[in-house]
Amino acid sequence: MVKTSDSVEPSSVDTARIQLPYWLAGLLRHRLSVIGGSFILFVAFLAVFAPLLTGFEPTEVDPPNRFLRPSFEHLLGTDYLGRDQFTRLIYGARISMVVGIFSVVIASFIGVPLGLTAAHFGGWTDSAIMRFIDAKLSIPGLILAMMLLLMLGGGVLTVSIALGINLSSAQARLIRSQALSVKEREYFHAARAMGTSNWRLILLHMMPNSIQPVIVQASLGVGFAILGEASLSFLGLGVTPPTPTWGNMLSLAFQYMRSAPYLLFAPGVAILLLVMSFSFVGDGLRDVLDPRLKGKI
Amino acid sequence: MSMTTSTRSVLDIRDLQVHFPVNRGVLFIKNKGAVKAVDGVNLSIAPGETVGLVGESGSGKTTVGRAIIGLVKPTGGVIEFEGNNVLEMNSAALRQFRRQVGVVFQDPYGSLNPRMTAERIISEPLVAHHLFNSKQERRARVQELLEIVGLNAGMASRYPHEFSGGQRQRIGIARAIASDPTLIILDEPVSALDVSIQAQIINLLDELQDRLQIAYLFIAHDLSVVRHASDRVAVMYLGKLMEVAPRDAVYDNPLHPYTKALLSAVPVPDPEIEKKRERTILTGDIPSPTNPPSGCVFRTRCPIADEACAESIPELREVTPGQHVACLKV
Ligand SMILES: Nc1ncnc2c1ncn2[C@@H]1O[C@H](COP(=O)(O)OP(=O)(O)O)[C@@H](O)[C@H]1O
Ligand code: SF4
Ligand SMILES: [Mg+2]
Repeated sequence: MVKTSDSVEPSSVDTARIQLPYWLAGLLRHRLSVIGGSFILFVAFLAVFAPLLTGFEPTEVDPPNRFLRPSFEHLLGTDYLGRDQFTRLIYGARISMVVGIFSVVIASFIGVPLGLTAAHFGGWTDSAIMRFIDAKLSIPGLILAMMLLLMLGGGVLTVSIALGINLSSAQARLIRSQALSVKEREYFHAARAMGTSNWRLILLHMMPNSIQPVIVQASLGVGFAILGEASLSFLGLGVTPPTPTWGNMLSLAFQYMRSAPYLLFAPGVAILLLVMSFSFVGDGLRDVLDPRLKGKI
Repeated sequence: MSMTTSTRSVLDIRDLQVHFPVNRGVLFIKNKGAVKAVDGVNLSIAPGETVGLVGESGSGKTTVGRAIIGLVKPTGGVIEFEGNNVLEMNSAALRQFRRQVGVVFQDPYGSLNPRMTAERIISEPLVAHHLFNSKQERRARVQELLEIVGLNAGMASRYPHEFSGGQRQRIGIARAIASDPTLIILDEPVSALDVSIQAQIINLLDELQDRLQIAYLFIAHDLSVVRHASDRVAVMYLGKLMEVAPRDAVYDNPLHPYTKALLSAVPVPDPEIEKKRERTILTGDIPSPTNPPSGCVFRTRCPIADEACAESIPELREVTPGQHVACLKV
């Protein structure tokens, strides 16, 4: 047996491990992330428990009581059909959150495999995939969304797919560039030299070491998708009314800006805060996960 | 050239060439010559033997190692492993070959996947080659390997960042020997370590060789590192071998001007000898391998070069028994 060993060099971490995963512990130390994260959880709570938090239905019309100012009965007033604005806001939170998260998940499920495949196989596979992505990028996002909506109709899923496809190019590019640098690392060479299969190379070596920026970008992307849904709603391309979304509430509010300006406030502020919250969390994740800022992983 | 008979060697490299194309222009790819990283190398390694491969940075040592393990495709020549041409192997033979050849890299930080535990890192070759198929067997093998390289079996669940540089290199060595190889390519395995740790790692490699009968190609950029480990030493410059000789011949009776120059850079322990010995100081930089000097590639830095050296290319010749030198003046 060989004698141990580098006793002069202490190993860096030895004693009891911290119970929290390091990224969560780091995130909790990042103040804006905590604020953003709390707001996201709050909105999620409202969305999940919406039926318990209000006595109205989101699509329940009450024409005599249209354009009511905020009051105890209608916390945020009523719209042009007399629908309770608070109810619509918390039900709308469901759609906005779901669209935001679905879009990013779809974007990652498309972008990550494409980017990893392009990086790993290189050559013409890489060129073909990247050309395809470039070609898709050259179609403006709105046109793409319109085409999909015409084909599939304006549901939550369609909107998420449209936004997801739009976001997927960025995810593919990002993970590809990370993966290309992983490919130059010696552990990757070592694995290749010992005959590790392509499948294992990609899943065990390439992906875990290139996924971090994708996660950061995904959390920023949620905010982008929520805004995207709102912009599509403005053009009548979002989730089909009467289903409430923050986007279509805002676009309706614009139409009645003169008679009921207060209607703009709630969906506007809600979108703003939620988008900001996701970007705070994204920034926090970036700081925590970025090895250059954090030192060696 | 016949240095050893190929039947007795683990590895036999003949006239190996690795030229990297230099491409310019995007639309119309024009071939603007090549980086001649390895240009006609002949080398063989006997079972259980250590061959030191030494030369300045940029001389092509890593590329030789990478060509052997299949990370770069040679543009010419033959690599024979136990008598079979690696470049013509079918996939089953290639699999077997990969099992029998290990590799240890220079950078103890870069050579271990930061997202894998020591156990998963070391069991990678076992998984790749379907050795020790049950989880328990594999775990037992990993623990055995950890102990063989001087670490604790209890460290198996740790991640690379929890180890010191020397310990990481031990993990890399454990991975390299896991599948019971007959040859290991050591690409500057101690260059990135503290001097105090270097000797420990070299001793470990020595002991492993005695125990497991592994042949080593030990790459280093200076002659001092491989002195004790090597049976033979090959000195490389700008893609070509300048001198290949038994260890003692290289250190006591170097014949090639480049070997002499490299030796001059190695301090001699005895201050008396150190004071008296004649020195060849290497000046200038190693020329670009894209555009190597005509004739002898070393001539631009050789203290005894003359016109003849620009005209003809010196071949490796056996000058004293076992000592091969590529110089027109020897
Ligand atoms: N993939 C590559 N593409 C182009 N040139 C390369 C590549 N790999 C190595 N080289 C060049 O080949 C030469 C030899 O490199 P290398 O084998 O790393 O030398 P050493 O290990 O002796 O320092 C260098 O000039 C290097 O720039
Ligand atoms: S051949 Fe000429 S240039 Fe080359 S090493 Fe010998 S003397 Fe020097
Ligand atoms: Mg090298």
